Amino acid sequence: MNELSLFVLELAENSAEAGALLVKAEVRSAPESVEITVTDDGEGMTAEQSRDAVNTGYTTKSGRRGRGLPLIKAAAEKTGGGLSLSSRAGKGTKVRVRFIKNEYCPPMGDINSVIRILAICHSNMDFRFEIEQSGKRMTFDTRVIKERIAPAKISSGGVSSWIREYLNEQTEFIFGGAANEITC
Amino acid sequence: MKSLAELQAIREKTRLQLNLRHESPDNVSVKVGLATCGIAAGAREVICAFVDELEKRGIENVTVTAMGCIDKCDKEPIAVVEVPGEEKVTYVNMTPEKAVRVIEEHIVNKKVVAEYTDGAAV
Ligand SMILES: Nc1ncnc2c1ncn2[C@@H]1O[C@H](COP(=O)(O)OP(=O)(O)OP(=O)(O)O)[C@@H](O)[C@H]1O
Ligand SMILES: [Mg+2]
Repeated sequence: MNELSLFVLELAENSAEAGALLVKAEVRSAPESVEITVTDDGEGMTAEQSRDAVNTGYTTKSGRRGRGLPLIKAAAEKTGGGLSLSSRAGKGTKVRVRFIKNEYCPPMGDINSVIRILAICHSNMDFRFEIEQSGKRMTFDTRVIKERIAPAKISSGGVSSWIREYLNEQTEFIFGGAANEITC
Repeated sequence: MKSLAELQAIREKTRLQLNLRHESPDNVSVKVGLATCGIAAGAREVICAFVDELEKRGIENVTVTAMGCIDKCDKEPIAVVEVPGEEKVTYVNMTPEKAVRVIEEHIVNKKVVAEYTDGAAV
């Protein structure tokens, strides 16, 4: 699972499982580092829970193993970066992960597919993605899409392929290549 | 460049289809495991395959959603397909190719792909 885009997916799934209705995900690539920030308006955590959340095996979900956050934290720390969590019970959660660009930094991987499946598989939620690299920036906001296509659904025919093509164009503009070839 | 205006054209097209289809609400549900175990095993590619193949075939009454972990982490990616009025079917060790076949045989032709189900001899 050593791809930045899969970390975004894991963090967004945590948000969905916390009952979030709006998730904002940012990926900012600077010359020396990449930073991923995921902010949600889900149920949040108490101070104690936030401390425990990054420990392997800590979970509040039945049948789960509590491996997501510790795995991402370890990957970030391996590069010399780290993971920080700020959360308030009843308000929401913000997870910030920083990777230093060196041989240990995982590749971006297929971020476009991650954006698309989040939008389609959680059609009752909204997502805002922002990706930035060397001054170039793209945003993708499901609220904008839904407003344009109502009453049709985001999963309906034509929309999902429009999203795919749109994202491909945008990330090609930003990274100058196919999204799944992006390395950090 | 793709423009947001194109979305409005898509809406007009789907509006017509919605009118034609409003009497068939029998939604098939496809749930794919997106816990850490599912993601690590390749759930992203499996979901993309489901979504793309459904769109390619113009199938509209299937919703693809995420589910948690069903304690079979070593068999991820897992997809649970539920056709209304029928027992739900759990497919294990899914791949994009298997997803295409599940759509073709189970969802279109209503025949469970037994060899992909949990417990089938591999
Ligand atoms: N965005 C969030 N909002 C609220 N609580 C969260 C959030 N992210 C994580 N948590 C809490 O931290 C715990 C650990 O998260 P982590 O991703 O490590 O494991 P998990 O999601 O429980 O299981 P796994 O990821 O292994 O499927 C969660 O069970 C939950 O209690
Ligand atoms: Mg998790």
